Amino acid sequence: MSDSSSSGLSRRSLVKALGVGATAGLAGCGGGGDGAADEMGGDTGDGSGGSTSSDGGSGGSGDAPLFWNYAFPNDGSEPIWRTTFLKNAEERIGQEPRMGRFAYEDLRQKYLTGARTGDPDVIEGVLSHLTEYVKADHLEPIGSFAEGLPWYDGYVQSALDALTYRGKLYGLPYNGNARAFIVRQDILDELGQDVPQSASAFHEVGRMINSEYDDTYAYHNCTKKGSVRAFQEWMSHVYQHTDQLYVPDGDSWKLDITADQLGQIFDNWYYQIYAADDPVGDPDTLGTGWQVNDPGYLNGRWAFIECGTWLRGWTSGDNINNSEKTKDILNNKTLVSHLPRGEGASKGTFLEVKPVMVNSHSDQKEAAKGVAAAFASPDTLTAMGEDAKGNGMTPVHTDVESTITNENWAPFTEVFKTGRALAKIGWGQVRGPFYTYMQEVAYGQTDPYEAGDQFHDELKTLAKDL
Amino acid sequence: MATQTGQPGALARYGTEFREFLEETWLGYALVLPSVVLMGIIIIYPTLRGIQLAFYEASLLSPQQQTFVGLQNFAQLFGAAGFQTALWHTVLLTALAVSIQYVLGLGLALALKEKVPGAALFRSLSMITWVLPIIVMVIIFRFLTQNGFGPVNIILGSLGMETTAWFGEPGVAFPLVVLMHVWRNVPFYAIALMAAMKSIPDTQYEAARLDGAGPLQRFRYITLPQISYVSMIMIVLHVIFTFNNFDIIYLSTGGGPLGNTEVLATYIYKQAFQQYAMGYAASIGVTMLLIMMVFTVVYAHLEARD
Repeated sequence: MSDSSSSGLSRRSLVKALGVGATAGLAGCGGGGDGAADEMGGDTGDGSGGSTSSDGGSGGSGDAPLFWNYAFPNDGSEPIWRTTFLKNAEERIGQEPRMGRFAYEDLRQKYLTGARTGDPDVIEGVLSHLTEYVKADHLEPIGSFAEGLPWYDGYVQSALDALTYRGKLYGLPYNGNARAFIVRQDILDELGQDVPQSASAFHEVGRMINSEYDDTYAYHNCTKKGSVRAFQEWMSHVYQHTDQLYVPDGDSWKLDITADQLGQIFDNWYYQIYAADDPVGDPDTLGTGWQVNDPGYLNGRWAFIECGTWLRGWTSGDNINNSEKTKDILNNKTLVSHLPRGEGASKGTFLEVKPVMVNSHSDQKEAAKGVAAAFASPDTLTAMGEDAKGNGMTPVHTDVESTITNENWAPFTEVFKTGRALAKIGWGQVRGPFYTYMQEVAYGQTDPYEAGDQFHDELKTLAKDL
Repeated sequence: MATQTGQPGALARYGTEFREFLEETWLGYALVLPSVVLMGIIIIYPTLRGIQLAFYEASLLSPQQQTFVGLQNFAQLFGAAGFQTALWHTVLLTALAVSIQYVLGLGLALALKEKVPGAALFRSLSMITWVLPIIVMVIIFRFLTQNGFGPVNIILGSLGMETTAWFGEPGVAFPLVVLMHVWRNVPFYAIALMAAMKSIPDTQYEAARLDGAGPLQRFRYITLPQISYVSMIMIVLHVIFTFNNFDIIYLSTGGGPLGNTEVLATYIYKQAFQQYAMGYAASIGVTMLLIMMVFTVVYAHLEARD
C-alpha cells in the first residue's frame, strides 16, 4: 500500500497527462481538415498546395470548400485546365478550394454514405450519380443561382435538361459526349463497303472483316459483369428504340420498351457478336470491359467500337503498343458515324452529360456554388479542351469552341444531337438484372428473345420501386 | 450480537477492498479506456448498427426512412437463389483455397527448413506475394491471362492450345480466383510453419533416428504434432480472411462471368450499392457474422489453450 500511496501522485499525474494527450489526439482527429486538405491538394503536385488562407474573399469563412472530382487528367502533363479552374475559383470565392480525387465509383459510394457530414461541399460526377444523389436528398437545387450567371444562356439546352429533375436544376454541365460508332474507314475501303447503317448490314460486313483479316476482329463491346461501360453501350441501343426506358407515370414510372425490342437488342449486340455460329466479335474476349475495348481499337485489333470523344486524345500510355500507329489510326483511318440500327429502330444514343453539383448539407453553400460556377465557366471549359482534347469535341456551352480539327471526327456533333440523357431513376436496380441477362445471352446460355421476355418482366416489376 | 457487530465490519472491509481495487486498477482502466472508446466507435457501434439494420427495410438512397420488418429480410435471403449460389461459392472458395494453401505451405516450409543453398534468399523473396497490394496482384494476373498479349496465352498459343481471356471464361474464372488466393498466401503459411518446425529440438529427431524411424515417421510422429497448434491458428485465421474476402474477386471478375465467382462479400456489395437494399444487405452480413463466429470461437479456444 505504501507503494501505492507513494506512487499515487505520479500515477495521477501520468493519467492526467495521458488523458490530456488522448483528448488532444482525438480532437486532432476531428479537426484535421486542414492537414488532410494540404495532403490532398499536394497530391496534384502543381505546387499550389491545398487550402490557402482566405484574404478577404466573399466565401472565405473557415476552411475552403472541399471539391471531390475525377475530372482532371492525372498523367503528369501540365495541368492547364486545373490551374485555370483554381484561378477562376479563387477570383469568385477568395480562396482556392480544397481538392480530393477519387475514381467515380469511389466518389459515388463515399458521397452516398457520407454526404450528410457536409463534406464534400462540391462534387463532380456522371449523370446517373446526380439522379441517385437527388433521390438521397444530397443535392442543392441551384437553378436561381445558375440563372444569375452571365454565361448561363450559353449552356446547351439538352445538357441543362439532363440535369433537371421535377423542374429543378441540380448541377451545372461541364462535359458532354454521345456514344458514336467508331469505324476503321481504311478497312471498309479495302473491302469496298460503306459504313453499315443497319444491324444486319453491320453483321454482314463484320463477318466479312473476320474472314478477310487475321489480326483484326470486326467488333468489340463490353460484357464484364458490373462494367458501367457495358450498361452505357446497352442503353445506347435502348435509345434507338425509345426516348426513355422509363417514362413518368403520375408519381411513379412506366416501362416504355417492348420485350421484343429488348430481345432484338440482345440478339443484335450480344448474341450475334459472341454466341452465334459465325460471331461478329471475338468470343475469347467475353467478360472484358473498356480496358480491352478502347486500347483494342487504338492498337488496331477491332474495326468497330462504340465510344465517346475521349478516344481522340488517347495516343500514348501503358495500353498503347505503338504510339505512331495509334496516331495514324486516329488521324487518318477512323471515321465517326451513328450506331447501326436494328429493325424498327431510329438514330439515338447514350448521352453523357457530366455535372458539377453542390452538397445540400454543406455549411458553405454559397462558396460551393461559386466553385461549381468556376468549374463550369466557359473559361475553364476552354482550358479543359486544351488539356484533354477529347473532352472539348462536343462542348456543352456555345462560347466554347469545339476541338474537332479532323473532318472524320466531325460527325460527333451530329451524333451528340441524337443523344438522350438517362431518366431520373435509381439505375442500380436496372443494372443488376441487365448484367445477368446480357451475360447469359453473350455466353450462349439463353436465347436472346427469351432473355428479352424475362428481362422485360423484371423491369416492369421494378417500375414501382424506382 | 456477533453478527450485528460483524456486519458493519464486513461492509467496511468490502468498502476498503473495493477502494483498494479501484486504486490498484484505476491506472489500468484509464490506460485501456481510449482504446475501448475508439474500438466502441469504429467496431462495436457499426456492428450493432448493422445487426439492427438487418431487421429493417432501408434504402441507401433514403436511410432515414426505415421500416421494421422483423425476420423478413432473413426469410427472403434463404429463398434467394443468388444468395445460395454466393454462399456455395464462398464455402467452396474457402475450403479449396485454405486446404491448398496449407498443403503447399507445409511443403514449402519443409523445403525451406533444410540447409539448401539460396534458402535464405528464397525465404525473403517468397514473402513478396504476401506483401504485394491486392490490386497489383490482380493486375498481374489479368495481364498474364489477357487474350492476345498475355504471357500465358502466348505460351498456350505457341503450343497450339486454346487461348482466351481466361477471367471471362466460365469454369476457369473460379479456379483462377482460388489460384490468386493460393499464390498470395502460401509463403505466409510456409514462414509460420517453418518457424514452428524450427522450435522442435533436434534431439527429438536424433532420438527417432536412433530408434529407426524413417523420414515419413519422423514427420508423422514428431513434426506434425508439434506444428498442429500453429497449423490450426493459420487455418482458422485464413478461413476467416477468405470467407470475408471482397477485393480479390471484385477487382478481378466483379462476380462474373455468369455469376461463376459471386461470393457473399460481392453479393452484399451489389445489394447495398446497386440495389440500394441496405436492410437486406445487412441481413447477409449478419448471416456471415454468425458463420464466422463459429470459427472465431474455435480461434479463441485455441488461443486460450495456449
